[in-house]
Amino acid sequence: MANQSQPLTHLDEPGAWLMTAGSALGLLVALIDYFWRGDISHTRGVLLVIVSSALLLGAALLLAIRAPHGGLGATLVALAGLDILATGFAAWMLEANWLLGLMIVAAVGWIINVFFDAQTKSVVRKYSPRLQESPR
Amino acid sequence: MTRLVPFSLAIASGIVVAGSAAVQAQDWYTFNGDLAAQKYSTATQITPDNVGKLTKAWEVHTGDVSDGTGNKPASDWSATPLFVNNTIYLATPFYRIFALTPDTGKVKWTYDTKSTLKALTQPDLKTRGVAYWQSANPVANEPCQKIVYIGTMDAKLHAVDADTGKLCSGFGDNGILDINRWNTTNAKWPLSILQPPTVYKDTLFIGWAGKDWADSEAPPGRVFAVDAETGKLKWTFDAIPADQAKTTGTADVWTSMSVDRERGILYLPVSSPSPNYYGGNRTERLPLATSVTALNADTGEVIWSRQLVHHDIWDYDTNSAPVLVDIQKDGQTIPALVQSSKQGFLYVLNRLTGEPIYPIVEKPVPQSTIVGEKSSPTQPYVATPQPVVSDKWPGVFGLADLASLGYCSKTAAALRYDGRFTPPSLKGSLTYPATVGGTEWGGGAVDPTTATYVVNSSSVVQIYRLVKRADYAKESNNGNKPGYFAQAGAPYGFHISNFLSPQGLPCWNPPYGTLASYDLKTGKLLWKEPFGEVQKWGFYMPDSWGSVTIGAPVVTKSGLIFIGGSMDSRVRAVDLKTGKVLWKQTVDAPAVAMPAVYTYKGKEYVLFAAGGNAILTPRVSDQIVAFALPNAK
Repeated sequence: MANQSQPLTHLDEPGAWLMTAGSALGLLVALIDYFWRGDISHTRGVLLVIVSSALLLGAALLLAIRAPHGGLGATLVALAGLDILATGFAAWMLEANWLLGLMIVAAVGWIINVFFDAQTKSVVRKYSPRLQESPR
Repeated sequence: MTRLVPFSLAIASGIVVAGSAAVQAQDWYTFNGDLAAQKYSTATQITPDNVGKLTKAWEVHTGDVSDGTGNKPASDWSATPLFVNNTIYLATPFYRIFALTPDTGKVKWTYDTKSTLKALTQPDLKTRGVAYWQSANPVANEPCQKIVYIGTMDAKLHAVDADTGKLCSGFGDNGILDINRWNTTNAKWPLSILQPPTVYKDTLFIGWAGKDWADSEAPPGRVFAVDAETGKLKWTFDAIPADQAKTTGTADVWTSMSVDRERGILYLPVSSPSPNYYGGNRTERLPLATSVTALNADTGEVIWSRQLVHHDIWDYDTNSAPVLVDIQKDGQTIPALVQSSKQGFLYVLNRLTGEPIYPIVEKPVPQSTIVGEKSSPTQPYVATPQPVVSDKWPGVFGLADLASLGYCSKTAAALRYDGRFTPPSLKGSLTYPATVGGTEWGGGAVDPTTATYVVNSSSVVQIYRLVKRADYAKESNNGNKPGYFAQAGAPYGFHISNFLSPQGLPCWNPPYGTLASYDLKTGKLLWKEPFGEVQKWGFYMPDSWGSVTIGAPVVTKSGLIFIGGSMDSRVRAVDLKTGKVLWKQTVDAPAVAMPAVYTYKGKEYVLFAAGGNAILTPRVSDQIVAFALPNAK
């Protein structure tokens, strides 16, 4: 299938926008931690979550503004989910509780996006038939 | 054990307790809080019930910090702040004194030794603080009736007026005593004064630190007793007999000492002789090396001495002041001391005689196969109290072995390991406990009212490997590679490394550090918990792993333990009864200095110097931070 996408509004994809907000604030918190939180400042661990938060922000924005169709869209959703899990785990290991909380927000956004956002729901259902049985 | 002077002589000469250190009950007037090295505070305002409310009262940054990337070596700040004379006194690793207001941290005065900031004997710039003396009969309107002392890496001891920060011209040469003037045998480097002197009556007892890994022939580990007002030499003590001082050296006292004030007995933790890891140049008995030794504080005569490691080839320096405490046992009051150690044993001795209160047994140990070496056939073992680390090494850590594709298990199998006291070897010996401890220079703390003893310890496996002299220069890049020690004059150089996987994970099972409590009346372990957290790349590892620690706990009458010391830059309050952490705060770097607890204007403060130590992590700081209850008066 050709990758098609179309502009959407925040009303159409509230889950993706929540993910965007969680990842954007998460990136901000990670940057603050990198420069100013004494026990983890200037560490590779915080650099890692800066990068992963930035990637998540990019993916979430794409899903919110112009969600790709087809396999690309499904891959993007799956990678965003993995990114949230990995960043959340890293935040837990860093004892970065604000970042962990924001990843939980992003995870809620991801769930809404998968199950309720119009564009993503259709993509996911196509590529994951069992999800068609999921509650609406 | 060596008994050299009858105890009655010591009593006769040292029974008088001078009032020169007329300090108040809740002062923190020595490196260990008091001369008995109990690290005990009678303060009761902060309790297990309210410690969770503890907040930062004030903090100061001295500006004296280096991470080693500029033109100065890295700084290690292990200085216990003193609270005495209604002032906080502290030394910085740049060898300056700060005098602070106790309730605000406002700087009263500073004094700069203008010492050279070069790594003359130690890899880093380090200090463990200042000492304080005050006259028992002060003369009105005369300066220097109260004096603060600071030592430097180039062996200068500075004496300054405690009220003004001005040099005391009557001390040494216009206020500065050059200890190096007495460095006359094997004087290859200065006798660094990094540990503040121990002050008793009107005498300063001064030990020193050097490079006992660098040379076979090194300065003998002399302790100097000098007049507190003038710096005039009163007596000296040598752990190395004069006839052997040409071929070996050190066996110095580089850490703090303790004093039985009632009886006038000075207790010395004596370190190992040089070089650290080969003893072929010192096969004669050196009974005072790696010992705890009791001296008459007035004369320097040895009252008794107990060697803790025979013919030390592991760098098991006796490394902390013995803790003095009276123990009620079998209906008797026993004047005791507890000596913690790198090797993880806790030696509980009668402090008047040196005889063990709990048995010390000589056991056969593995023998060296190195040509020229003559290891001791036996070593003293202590079963009670339970050693702070296990007799056998903790075994290969499965996670590290998996991550390194079997590197850890293969390496362990290729090394020599025959249990405790496995000697260094050419192929490499797996050494546990190793020179980093066990327990480091902070030692333990005790609640004297219950004889409850608390001590932190590390569980570290290291690889000791001797390097043939012919191979040393090339292999070590003339000693410039990390972990190589020259041991010049010996037929072997030396390489030491932590047993880590290529990914930097410890190859041995956790925990890597614990905090433990003992009942000294019975010798029984009350509790033992993993302590602190290991951090790698900022990630905190599980609590059950614990952390390597440097520093020491402080115990309060209200049933709390305050301690920093861990790799994770956190300071904690622990319940003395259970070992559970009740409060923790992040500070700027590992607080490797032991804290000071004091009460000023009715308010109890807990004061940490958070300076870091490169042995733990590269993170360093210049922060001194006080915690108190927000609404206490």
